[in-house]
Amino acid sequence: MSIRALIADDEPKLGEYLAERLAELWPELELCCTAVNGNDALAKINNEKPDLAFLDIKMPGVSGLEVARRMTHASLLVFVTAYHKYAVDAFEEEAVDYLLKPISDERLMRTIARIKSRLADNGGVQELGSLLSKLTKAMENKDTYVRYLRASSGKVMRLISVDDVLFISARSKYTFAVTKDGEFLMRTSLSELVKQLDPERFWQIHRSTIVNASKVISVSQTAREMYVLTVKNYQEPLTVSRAYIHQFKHM
Amino acid sequence: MEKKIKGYFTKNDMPVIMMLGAGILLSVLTCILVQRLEFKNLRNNFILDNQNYSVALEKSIEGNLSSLNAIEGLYASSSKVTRARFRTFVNMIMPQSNGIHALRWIPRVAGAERKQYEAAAIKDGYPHYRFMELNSQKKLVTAGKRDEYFPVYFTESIGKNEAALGLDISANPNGKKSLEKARDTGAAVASRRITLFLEGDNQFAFLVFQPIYRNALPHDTLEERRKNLMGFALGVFRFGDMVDAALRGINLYGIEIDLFDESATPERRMLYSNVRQRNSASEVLTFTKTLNVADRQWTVKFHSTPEYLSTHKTLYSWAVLAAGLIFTFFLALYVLKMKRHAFEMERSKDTVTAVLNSINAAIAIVDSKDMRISACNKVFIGESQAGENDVMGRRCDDVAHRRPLPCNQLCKECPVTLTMRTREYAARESIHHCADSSVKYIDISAYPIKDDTGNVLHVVYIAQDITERKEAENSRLKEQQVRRMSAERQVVETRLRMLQAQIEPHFLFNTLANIISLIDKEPKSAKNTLQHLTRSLRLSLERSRENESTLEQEAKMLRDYLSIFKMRLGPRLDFTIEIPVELLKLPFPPMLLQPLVENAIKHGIEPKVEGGSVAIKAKKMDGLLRLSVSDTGLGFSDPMNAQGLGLENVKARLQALYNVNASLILEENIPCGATAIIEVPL
Repeated sequence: MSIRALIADDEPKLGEYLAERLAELWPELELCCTAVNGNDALAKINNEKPDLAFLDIKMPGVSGLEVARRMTHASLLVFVTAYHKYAVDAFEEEAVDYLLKPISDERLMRTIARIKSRLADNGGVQELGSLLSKLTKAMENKDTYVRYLRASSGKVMRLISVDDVLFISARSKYTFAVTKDGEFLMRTSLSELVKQLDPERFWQIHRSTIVNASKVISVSQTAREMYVLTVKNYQEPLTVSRAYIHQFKHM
Repeated sequence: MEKKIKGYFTKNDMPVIMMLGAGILLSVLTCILVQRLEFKNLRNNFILDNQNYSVALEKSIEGNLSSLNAIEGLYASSSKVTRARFRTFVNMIMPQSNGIHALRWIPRVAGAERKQYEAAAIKDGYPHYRFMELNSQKKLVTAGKRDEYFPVYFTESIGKNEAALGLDISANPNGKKSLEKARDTGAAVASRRITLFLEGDNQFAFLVFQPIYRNALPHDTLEERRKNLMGFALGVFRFGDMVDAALRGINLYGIEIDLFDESATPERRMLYSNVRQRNSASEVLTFTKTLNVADRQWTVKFHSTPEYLSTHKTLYSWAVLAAGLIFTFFLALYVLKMKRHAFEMERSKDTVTAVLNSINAAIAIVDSKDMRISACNKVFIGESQAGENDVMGRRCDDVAHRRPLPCNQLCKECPVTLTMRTREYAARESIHHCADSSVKYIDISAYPIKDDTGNVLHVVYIAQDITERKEAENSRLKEQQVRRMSAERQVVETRLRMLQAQIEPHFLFNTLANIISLIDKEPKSAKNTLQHLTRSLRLSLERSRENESTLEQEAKMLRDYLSIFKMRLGPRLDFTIEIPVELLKLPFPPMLLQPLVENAIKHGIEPKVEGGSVAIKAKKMDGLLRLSVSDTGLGFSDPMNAQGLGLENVKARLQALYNVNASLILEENIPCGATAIIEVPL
């Protein structure tokens, strides 16, 4: 029984090249199928149940890591990546096979040897759990708060950097992001936005207003328990409602 | 502030108004005084004139009376005086004595001689002659029989009126009394006033009887006079004629005359009057003189009429008044102007002082002759830490050196000294270190005030604390520096990023991996790709040292960049670059578009299973250059997909290069993908 392998790479030339090299260096290996994106790879692993899968980490659809996490057939995995410091470190630690692009024959030979010995051991199930969580963490975007807001100006949907937003205001059932260039209608509700925006930078000052703290010019007390904010490039002052006054009391 | 009293005048003008009042009063008083003096003078002249007139009148009366003496002489020198001789004599003297109405001869006729006298008269040519008397009806009737008659026997008068011829004077009691008095005294006797009604004349007249005694007979005693009386010479005088004759040739315009008989009863006192209208006593000049006419005493009274006053009064007083008023008025006007002027000067001086004091700068005016301060404002005094009296008149260097006025440098460098020397405006900024170790910046300016010949008379010294401005300026400079530095940093960062983008390991190694995979099978493609990579690397290395590139160069670079991706992604990527020829040469910042293209690949095409296309377009629009990088990739339907967009750098560069005139817009395409637009001014 020959060993069957899958190669998944979104760049076709690279997949072809790997197949070529394997054919030469490991002629016994049977290439059962190739995939050009994550979804494709995942489906083929589950269906074809290859013994071995070369997965490019960065692929359209689902990433190589996601495929590894979700595949139902436990193929031996070799990750292929061009460069990722964290990823390489993680591979080194966990001793899961990996290949760096461009793939050199030497490196590939070593990998083939290791895979062969693993297969020979027959207990070749890899411990992927900690590797995947490490890699996911390393590659995950550091920002947990949104940096762009989708908002429409007329029929055109725009992407507005939160840095440009002066304040966000909810009027009746619509939410508007106000910038120095004008007002943009948003589909997201204000309560949803409160969760998505960095509370250090965006302050809710009213049931229907979130203000960009970096745009606030002045806070003035018009009466006892009455504060208004003035915002850069905007004429009207913004009222701070009673429930949110505590943020300004100490100012 | 003064309150307006009435229109033009103000409370301040009170003295002028008082002066005006006093001037008017004085003028009026002077006028009255002049009038008084004039009137006094007029009265003196009046008296003097009328003294002369009265003398003339007296002389005239005397002259008239003397005609009776002449008749007396006639009778004394003749044994017999006939009617013809009397006529000749009288006609000889009458013309010389104007004012005589008639001269008559009244002989003393004993009762027995009546017929003889009457016959003689008839013989003389008076056929109706007879002795007559007036009855109670004042009609002439033949005289009754008496012991003695005193008839009018001869009469010579002006106009030959002989109505009274034959009238027995003694028949009338008053006549008889006069005759007897004349006979007894031997002197002429004048009658009271009478009316010559017999002659149809209602003018007042008087009679004077001159007794004539018989020749060579004594008449020294009463007895002798009664015994030797021959007759009377009778003069009939009309007052009007007499006065007229006496004052003939004298201009009596404005003078009226009253003549009174003091010896008569009150109702008969008035002898003559040409007074037309009796005026009230005021303003009427009078002159009274007593005249002795025979035995009677008369008074003559001269009155001035208003015409006299108006004729003789001059306009001097009014001229004086007018001159006084005009003088007063002009003097008041002048004083008022002067006062106003002085007031305005005072006020403008106050204003200048107030203005000087309101300026928050130390100001002093230095006399160029002796460097002494001739004027200064409050700030200067405050700054000099001395009283006003200590500052004024002191030498400026002396005052300024006291601190903290900033003359802490040598006087040689002081703008005041400099201005005096060069005659030009001079200024200097001085840094003053205060006791509390803070620093004050002070701007010292000196302005020359020159005379016509250009000599500097005064120097205006102005020291102004410009610390605030200076600090603001410094902070602005610092800010500019920071901005410049941050712009420079942006550039450096961009260059680094540009390098990074090209040598980005993922990109580089993937590309190299592709090239390697091609070398054996498709050496030509490998060669092309390698060329693209090389060119793209070289360009970005070169650009990273330049600040300016052109659209053409940028397009070339992007074409290489995209060609590499095209090779790598195969059918999953298509791209177009459309830049109108006329825009190719436009300058454009290097590597500004590259991040947008990178985003389109990385966030749009690569993560999308089907891939897509990238279109780069350039066009002119409303004076802006609009560049768009549009893809049909994944778009932002998942907002998290937009998280990794590296646009902060692009935004910061646009800000640094174009300030607010450039913009970066991200739009979502329909049905899929995104467009990044950069607009920069042309």
